[in-house]
Amino acid sequence: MSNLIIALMVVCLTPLWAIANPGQSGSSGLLTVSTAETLDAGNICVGAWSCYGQNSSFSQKSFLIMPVSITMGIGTFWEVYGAYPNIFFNGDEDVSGRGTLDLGTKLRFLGGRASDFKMAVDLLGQRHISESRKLDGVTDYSAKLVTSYNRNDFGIHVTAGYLKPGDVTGITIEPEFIFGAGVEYAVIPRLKLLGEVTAGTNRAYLEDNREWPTPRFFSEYSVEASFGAQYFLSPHITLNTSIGTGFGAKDPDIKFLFGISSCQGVGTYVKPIPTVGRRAAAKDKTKEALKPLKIIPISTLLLKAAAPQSAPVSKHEVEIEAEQEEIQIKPYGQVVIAPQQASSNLTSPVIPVEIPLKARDEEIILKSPKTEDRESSAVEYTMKRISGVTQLYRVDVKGPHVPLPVDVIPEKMTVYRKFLFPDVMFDFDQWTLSPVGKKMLSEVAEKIRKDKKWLYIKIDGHTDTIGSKSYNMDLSLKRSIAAASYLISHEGVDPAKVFIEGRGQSSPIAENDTAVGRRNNRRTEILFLVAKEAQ
Amino acid sequence: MKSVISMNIIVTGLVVMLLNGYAAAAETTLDATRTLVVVPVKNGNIDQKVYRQIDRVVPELKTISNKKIVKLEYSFSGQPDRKQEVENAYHLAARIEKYLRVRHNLDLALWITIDVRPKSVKTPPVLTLAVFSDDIKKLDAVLINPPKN
Repeated sequence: MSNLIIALMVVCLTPLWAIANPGQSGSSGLLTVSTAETLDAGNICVGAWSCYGQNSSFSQKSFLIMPVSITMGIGTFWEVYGAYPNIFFNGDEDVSGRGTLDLGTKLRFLGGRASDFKMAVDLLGQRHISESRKLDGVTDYSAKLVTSYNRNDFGIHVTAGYLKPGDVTGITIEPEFIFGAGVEYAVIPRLKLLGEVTAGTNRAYLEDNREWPTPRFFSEYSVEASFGAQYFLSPHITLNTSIGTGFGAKDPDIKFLFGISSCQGVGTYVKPIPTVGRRAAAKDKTKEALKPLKIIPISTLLLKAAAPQSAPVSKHEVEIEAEQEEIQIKPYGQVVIAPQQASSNLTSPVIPVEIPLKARDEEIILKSPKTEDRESSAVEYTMKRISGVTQLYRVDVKGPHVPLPVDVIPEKMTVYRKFLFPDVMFDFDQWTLSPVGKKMLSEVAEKIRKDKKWLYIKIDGHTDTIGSKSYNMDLSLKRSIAAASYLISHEGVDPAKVFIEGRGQSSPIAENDTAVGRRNNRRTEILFLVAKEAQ
Repeated sequence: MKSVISMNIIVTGLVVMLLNGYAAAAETTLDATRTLVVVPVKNGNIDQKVYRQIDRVVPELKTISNKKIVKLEYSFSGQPDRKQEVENAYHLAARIEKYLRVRHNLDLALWITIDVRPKSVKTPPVLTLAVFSDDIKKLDAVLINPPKN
């Protein structure tokens, strides 16, 4: 038992994103009706449901069951799922109409993950778990065609299929055509409203009791409708509920369903929920096509390699004032980088500046972790996250074996390289990039691509003191926007890695009472941020 | 006995899932911090509804030390290689920055970023305000080419 708890704790400590919308049968979709969605590869979902209903057609008038389900993404278009009908083990599953152990698979054969229109085929085997000796162990097989159409916040899903019932001794059960339809509407990103209808031409109900000489058997048409909601508590947890009724002769009078499902990404596959579980996001192919920046921040690979040599210094790059350029953050791993002495030879086309070269002085220190330290730190880390204290700026470390020293958590970011652009990037009082400015930015973009160490890029706009503070803040921000937009749209820099800030006249580097000083103050800075050792 | 063990396992699993989910819920895709508010921006237009939701978080923003960074992120579906879309996204976020600065007189270290989702993702754009932690004002002390006295 303790091993189990430890294993569960490990899972708890390593939450990854996953897609989270399996239904009560385990198949991805609404609560009852499957959709053509499939769980993405490497993700796993489990669900626990409770279903209470009343059915006046049976001798047992009410039922309460607790099905559990599991769903696994096998490929980009393929999932397998299963469900156990009732972990209350109270014998209510017969009258609930859900007394089967399900094992199924769904393959999407038309439409990509992000397509509006999709089709899938859903194959399911259902083995009856019943108090009735005649029914127990009988297996039904079904195949369904699932069609889904999603548009903006609205989705509609239709299923149609055929169910071949298993052989029950002494009873002839006709095959059944099964249908389902469902609509969903995302009221807010976290909340979806669902309407579902399921139907069958010959729904077989078998009621048995040990005192009865023969079981009662009914074969009637069935139509059940329900209205429900899904609330995405987090990307990992979904709350589901619905209330429904049946219109067939032997259908339940009322049925209330409540379920909680949780999903995890396992293995190496990590995929975020797009705005809380609506539909899976396709791979951002636009980014892939745009000169992707492969960021391998810091790993043991660096230790094996020779001391890294930075790219040749741009003429716009300026010297970093060591120990003055740092921000406090809390990244994950522990990687220590001494402040960079970026050599510089700034010769601005407009403002020639000579800055002496300095030797680069970089050291990387990775302390060996102890097992107990790692465990205690992991627990502390998790508790902090649970209590709302979350870490910033994760350093993703790649490599076959990556020891993460955790006894000292780095809490600072530092400016590793800095590029300064004079006001020739823009015309006076304007925020449109000049041709010279574009050329300068392209040079820096090349540095961004070549440099493997930066975690984030920050673009600061600065002005002189001519004009009001508010006006200058706006102007500096617009200039930052122009620079950032160019780097993103023309040079393929990942927008999620770029921050901008309008600094206005708040950070002058020269006196504002002379024309030269004001010209120096009108500038744009691009900062490369990296993790810095904890102090 | 067997069913009791099964129930224990299930209960333990559910507790773990809950803890796990709550822990993960605090994260954003940027590995950030404490999210203050997420405001849907329907059709990419900032209307009174958006401003009202921003207004609600202003009291909390006023309590935030100016040593901390506030992240303002605009997340939308589009193409990062379309300059106009990218610029519009930044300008939209900049309007909120100006609203906080001018209307509410907030003096924040506000870092703006955008998140460009694939165009096929049809969910509405959202603005997110979150707080980074700790002291970043040292960055302000950076002097490039400091004036010689």
